[in-house]
Amino acid sequence: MTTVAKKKYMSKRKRKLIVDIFSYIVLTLGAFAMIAPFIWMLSTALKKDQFHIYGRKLFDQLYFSNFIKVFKTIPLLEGFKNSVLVAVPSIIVGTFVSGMAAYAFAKIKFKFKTTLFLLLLGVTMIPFPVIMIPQYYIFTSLDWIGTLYPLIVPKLFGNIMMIFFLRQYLQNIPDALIESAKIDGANHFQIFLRIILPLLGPALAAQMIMWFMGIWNDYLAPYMFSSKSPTLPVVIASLVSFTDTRTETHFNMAASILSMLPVLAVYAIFQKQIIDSVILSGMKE
Amino acid sequence: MKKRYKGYRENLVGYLFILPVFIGVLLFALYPLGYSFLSTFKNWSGLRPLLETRWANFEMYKRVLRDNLFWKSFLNTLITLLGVPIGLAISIFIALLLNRGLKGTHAYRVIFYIPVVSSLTAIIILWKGMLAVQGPLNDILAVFRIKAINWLGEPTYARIGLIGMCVWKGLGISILFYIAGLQGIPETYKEAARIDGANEWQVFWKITLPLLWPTTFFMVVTGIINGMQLYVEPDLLTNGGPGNATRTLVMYLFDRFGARRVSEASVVAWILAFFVFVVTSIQFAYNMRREKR
Repeated sequence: MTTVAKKKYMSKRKRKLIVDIFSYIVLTLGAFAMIAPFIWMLSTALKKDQFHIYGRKLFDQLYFSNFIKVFKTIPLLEGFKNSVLVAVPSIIVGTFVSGMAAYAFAKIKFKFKTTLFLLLLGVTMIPFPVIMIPQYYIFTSLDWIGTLYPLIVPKLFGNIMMIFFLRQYLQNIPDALIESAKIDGANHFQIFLRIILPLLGPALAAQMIMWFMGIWNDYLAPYMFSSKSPTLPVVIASLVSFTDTRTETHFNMAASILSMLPVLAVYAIFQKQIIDSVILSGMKE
Repeated sequence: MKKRYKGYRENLVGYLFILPVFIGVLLFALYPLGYSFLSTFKNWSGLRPLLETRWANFEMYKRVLRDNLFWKSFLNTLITLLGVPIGLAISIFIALLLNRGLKGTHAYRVIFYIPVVSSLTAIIILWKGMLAVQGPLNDILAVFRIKAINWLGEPTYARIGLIGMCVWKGLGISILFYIAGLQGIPETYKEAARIDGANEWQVFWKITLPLLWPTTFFMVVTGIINGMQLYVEPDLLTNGGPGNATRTLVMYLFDRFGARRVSEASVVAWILAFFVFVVTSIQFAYNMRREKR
């Protein structure tokens, strides 16, 4: 290497180092901005009472008993139970139904397939505020308002976004696999159960996790249709209701933390799959 | 060559497999859609059956469009859309830094995505505390000798607080989408530009940013669609206040619904739907053009 080239190489390395350090500083500041509010939240949840919340010191008081007291003041357990009651049957049945539809759209030949698929695409365009009012009156006429049915039953019929995703995934599976199963005498339903579902495994799991998080965090529909059987977000939102002054900020924070724990736990376990699947869906756009 | 139809049976099986989904679509999307559209031309309180209600023609549309609060809510909604470009600019910057192959990149990605997976209602409670006058945000400002701000009590600051919270919560998604976009840009393009003497700044503006356009476009579209429907955040954070400064279209809609002026609520919903439709059509046309190329 000539000295000039060497010098150029060195300065290039030096510059890379500077940019690296700069990147780490900015990223760490950004990460701090993401996490700091949660740390403050935890510290507030541990304060003695309403009057000690806005001290300048974090973690000067550690009243862990707040997390237990919260159960006595707020129907947190009921919210938890209702959220589970909504999420579990919806996801199990809904995923199965979505998988079947995705398989049909990817591998079975039938008339008007493209038209019907485009219709589904169109349905995703409908903003929820447009259909929620008629839905309210439909559920009223069924006497479902205040129960969990309005949150469960519509989801049993599948999830269109999931159908799109699974269909795309299934299109990459060779037809020969299905043809050979057919020659062995299997019908489409058997093929779906024994070959397609196991094949879909990882993709399905990622989709189910994302759907679970969506259902767990959903507030608008539960608030509108089922506030008498409140899911967790409804219980939490009632804490900030502008007429209700029963609860206090440190309890609110403790309750909010407890309500987030299940989803954060799922996120901690599956963070790699979740991040990868979001990036993957980003690549398709 | 396409394989020949097996005919009848194959058709039937196909329909059976998609039947549940279409029953759901019919019952919980298309039927309510028609119902909602019909109700905009009637004066419906929701108490009596819609079909027995008298026609109002365009009276409900006129009522909504003549209401100042509607226009104010509309304007407020547009103002909150300012969060979209702000969020995208920050995300692009962070995504560039996360795409440099540094160690620990995955950990940063995971951290930036935490607010996205967190429950919205819990996040709003958290931000209400953060934005309190004696809250931690003002404590930080005090370090820079800035006087305490009444975040939720003054129109402009309430808007800033609302937009700030929305940007903060959604940042993780757009960062990941930009990372996906960046990974689709071949390194050779940038190399070629560098050999031609472009500096990093020029590479970004002339190569990277234009090639990220599909990602940006997609996120602007979804940002507008979601932003137009903003409801839970302003409802729980500020309750539309102070002085209706953060009242959004969907909050206005809920107001009419609560006042049993259901037809007016439906009109607002359809104005919203019209916007979503226009934006989606633009997106659709753009995608068609891109596929042709």
